This record gives sequence, structure tokens and C-alpha cells, in this order.
Amino acid sequence: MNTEVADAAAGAALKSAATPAVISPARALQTLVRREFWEHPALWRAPLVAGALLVGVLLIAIFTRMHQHTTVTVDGNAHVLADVVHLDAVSKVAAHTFVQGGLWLALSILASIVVCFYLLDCLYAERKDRSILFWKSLPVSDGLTVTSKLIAALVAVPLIVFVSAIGLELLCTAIWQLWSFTGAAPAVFAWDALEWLRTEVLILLVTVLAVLWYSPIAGVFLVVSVWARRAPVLWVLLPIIFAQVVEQIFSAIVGTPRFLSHFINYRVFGIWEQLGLFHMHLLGHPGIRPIGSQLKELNFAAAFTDVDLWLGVIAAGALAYGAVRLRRYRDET
Amino acid sequence: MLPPHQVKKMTAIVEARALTKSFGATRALDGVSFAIETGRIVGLIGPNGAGKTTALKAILGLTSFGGELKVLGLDPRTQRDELMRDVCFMADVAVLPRWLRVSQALDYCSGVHPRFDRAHALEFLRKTDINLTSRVRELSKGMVTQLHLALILAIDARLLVLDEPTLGLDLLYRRKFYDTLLNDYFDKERTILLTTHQVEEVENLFTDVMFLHHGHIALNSSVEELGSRYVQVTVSAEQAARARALKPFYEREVFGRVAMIFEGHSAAELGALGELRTPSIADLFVAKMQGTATT
Repeated sequence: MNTEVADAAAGAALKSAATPAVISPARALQTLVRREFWEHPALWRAPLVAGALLVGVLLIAIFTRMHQHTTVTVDGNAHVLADVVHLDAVSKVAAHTFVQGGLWLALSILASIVVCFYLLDCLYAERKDRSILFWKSLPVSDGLTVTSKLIAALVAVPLIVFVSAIGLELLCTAIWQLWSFTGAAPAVFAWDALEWLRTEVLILLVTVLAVLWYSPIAGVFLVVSVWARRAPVLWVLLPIIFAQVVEQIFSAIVGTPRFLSHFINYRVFGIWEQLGLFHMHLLGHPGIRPIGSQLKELNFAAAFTDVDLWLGVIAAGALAYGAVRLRRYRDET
Repeated sequence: MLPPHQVKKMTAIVEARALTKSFGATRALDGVSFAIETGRIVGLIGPNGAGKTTALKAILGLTSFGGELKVLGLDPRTQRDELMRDVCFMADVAVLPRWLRVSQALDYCSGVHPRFDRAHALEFLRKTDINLTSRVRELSKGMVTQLHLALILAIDARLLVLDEPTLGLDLLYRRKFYDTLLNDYFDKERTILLTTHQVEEVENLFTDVMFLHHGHIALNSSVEELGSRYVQVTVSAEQAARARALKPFYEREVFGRVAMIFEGHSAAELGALGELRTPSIADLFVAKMQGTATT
């Protein structure tokens, strides 16, 4: 009656003989993380779709302007762009690393927005669609369930972004280089394996730092997701907005310090100040410097040993534990 | 299943003593005690709000409660993860997530349940029109039930808990569901605990019944015991007064005659009054809910 299933049944019959009597937590966790990507495909699709769009736009731009040389006006005279832009060898390498960093940053910002919505939804949606009764009918602990959601958000997605950004950057710069061979576009990129690698190491370290620094926010979102009976997004936003407004009013009338605003500002940007990210020296003489050159200048040691960073990680752990406890007796109601 | 006064040390698969659960001022379970033995099919029957689902959730460790409860010798409050390796449950058909593909459901169960047999599930699905690539939202309600049943049948569990599993299904799917459950799943090593409002359809399935009413057990008996314990007599209007003297706990008029249900009277004692038969579980349920007597 059902040949598709029949074929699968034959294969499964062979495999089932080797089915283990016990499933290791690692295998269960792997299945649970896969489940997260089945339910929330935007987690992996968003960076890939954004990347594909970018490549698409680049290709359209190339094909539509294949036979037109882009001109710019310099001193009142029109010049072909490719003839005007002249970068030295170091600047070309630096420009390549700027593409690396820029694409990674763009994908990271997009993925961060998707992850925020994911974290707010992941423990709420299972109650909303009543599927929590199905998930809880299987031998999966609440601890493993919450852990899988954190791994999906804080490990799997950053890794996907990291790898996608590398692929995208290589593809985009390769396309640009081919275009520049036609003389229609300026040759602004040069490949330097060491600088490329240094930039990727810097991006990886910044990624790890970002995951650790923002982990308490992920913890808060998980708690709201498991606790809220409806509209978890509002439960996150409204109290913060309300408290900010109240604080601003008091600050304006009584002159009290704005602790909350400072705290939020600190939790968003604090670690980057510590790292020195806002004071990078990317302008050299005469051109620009590769991002990877900042590997020595950024203060990773101070950032990774920051007490607030690790207090935040502990807070994230406590919040995740709270989410586990709250999910224990959560049902479809 | 043993009545509360016989609850003692035993090889029961479920053992509850003085189970309590309140929602505000409402007592959903009010000191309920019972035991369920291995290899039984127990019908947990009661009107809406009787405490059935609360009792099931307590057994499954899905809600907090007072009193003592052991399921397979484990405490559902503290040993739920261990317990769920041997217990399987199915609420109504709407709980499978709509975004899930059939193949993903199989992958997921294979990846987390040590007693899930993928080949068995596929064997069952082969007899249906369900495609592995379909999402749950693309399946009819009956097909979703078949999928859920395929997942459950493939799990080698010792206790299966079903809470209104055929709610909203047509008669054909309901019949198929229970036939499959009985023929392909149930054996003497397994126990099924089932709640349903469609008592008439499944009463032949039960080996035991437990009626819950306002958080109390109104009846707790094996089906064999019911025959010797309860008798329904249909008497003419002239014999009604004589029959009422024997204190039936329920009566109703049927086409000018009166059907009465007695407890604790022998057939010989009642035979002279009218036509005797063992009351159906549905009749007994209505009688217990509307009558005054309790066990």
C-alpha cells in the first residue's frame, strides 16, 4: 500500500537489531538539538538566505553592468571607477578582511534577532500547540530539553554563522575578483592566507566572548518563555520599557541616577569596551590595516578574565536551572 | 484492580494512597486510593471535572500532588525521567506538533527512546496511507492518530496511559484504534489505563473499571466482579413497589417498565421480580453518578 514506507521499513528492520538498549545523553542531546532546527528552520535558514540574497544581488549587479564601466566624477571630470581606485597591497589585503568582518557582523546581527525570537518562543510554543504532552511522553528530562535549546541558540547558531560567513566571504570576493578582471570593477582585494586566518581567529574569539557575555540575556528569555502564559515578547519588552520610563521621569524630576539605563547599556556594550573593540586602529599609513592585525592590540586577556563576564555566565546557569524547574510541572494549560 | 481497602504491599504497577490535589478551593482528587495490577486494561471513567486527567497527570509525574503514589515502584515526582522509559502516554490526537514530519517523528523517537523500535513503527505505517515526508498538519485527524499509535506501538512500554485518545475521530477510526491496541499491543505483561467518554464503545475492552466523581472513587472493580455484584432488573409497573422495597440504588422508566439496578442482591432473590441482566458499564456509570449509593 505504501511503498515509500515499505522501503524504509526494510532498512529499519536491519538497523533495529543493533538498536542500543540505552541511549547516551550525548546522542539524546544531538537528537534534541536537531529537533530545534526542525521546528525553527529560521535558525539556519536566515543566515543562508541572507547570504544567498547578497550573492544574488552581487551577481545581478555584475550581469546588469557587465558592459558598462562605472564612472565617478573627480575634479569635475568623469573617470572609470576602476581607473581611479588604486589601493596598495596591504590595503587590498585589509579590504578583504573588512569583507570577512563585515559579512560576519551582518549575519551575526541577523542571527541574533532570530535567536532572540527563538529563545522567547521555544518553551512557550510547546504549550501553545499542546505538543508539550507529546514531548513529555518520552524519556527526556527537562534539564536535557532546556540544555538543547541553549546549545542550539548559543553554540549551533554562532557556528552556523561563522561557517556561513566564511563561505559567503570567499564566494563574494571570488565573484568580485572575476568581475574586476573584466576591468569593470576596481581590483580592491588581495588574498593573504595569514591575514585571513588571523581575522577568522579574531572573529572566533569575539564570537565566544559574545556568547558568554550575552548568555544571561538568553537565560532571561528562556525563563520568560517557560513562564509566560501568552505573549512572551511583550513580557520581556514591556517591563523594561515601563521601568525605563519611570526611571527617566524620576531622574528628570528628582534627579536620581539612571541605574537601569546604565545597567542595560553596560550589559549590551560593556565587554566590548573592556576588549577595546571601539578603539581599533584600522587606519594605517598610507592605507588601511587588516582586521587580523588587531589580534594583538585587542585586550582579550582582560575581556576573558572580566569578573562580570563570569558572573553573567553563572547567572545564565541559574536562570537556565530556573527554566528547568518551571518546565517540570508545566503542561498544555 | 484492587479496591482501596485491599491496597497493601503487592506487585501493583500503580499504587496510590490518599492521593490529593487541589486547584484553589476545588479538590480535584480527595484522598483517592487504588492499585492497578499488571496485565489489566483499566477504564478510568468520570464526568467532566471528576479528576480523571488530574489522576493521570499525577501518575505520569506531570503535576504535583499530595499522598503516596508509586508507578512501577518509582515516585513520579522525583523519578519521572526513569519512569518514562517504561511508561507511554497519549493524550488526545491534537498533541503531535503540526510542523513535525513523519520521518522526523521516527528519527526523534529513535534518538531519545531506548525502547523504540523504528522497524515496528514503519511496519505499522506501511498499512496506512501516511507518507514519511508528510507533515502532521497535512494529515487528517484519523491519520494523526494512526501516526501517534504507530509511535506508541513501537515503544516496548509496560504501562500505557491513554487520555481520551479517540476524541473527535469518526467511528471507523475509533474502532480501528481500539482493535489495533488490543490485537497488536496488549499482552499480559502490559497494562493500559484509559479514560474516555465513549464508554459504550469500549466497555468490552476493559478488565477493570474505576469511576471517579468529584475527586472520589465511586466504583472500583474488575469487570468479572461487576456481574456478581450488580444486577439490573426490569420490572412491570405493578412489581415496582415490591422491587423498591429491596432498595435499588438507581431506577429509570423504559417504555412503561422500570429498570432498577441493585447492589449486593443475588439473582435468585431478584429473579421473581422481572427480567434480569448484568448492567452495562455505561448504565452503571450513569447509575453511580446519579444514584445515591457509593461503594
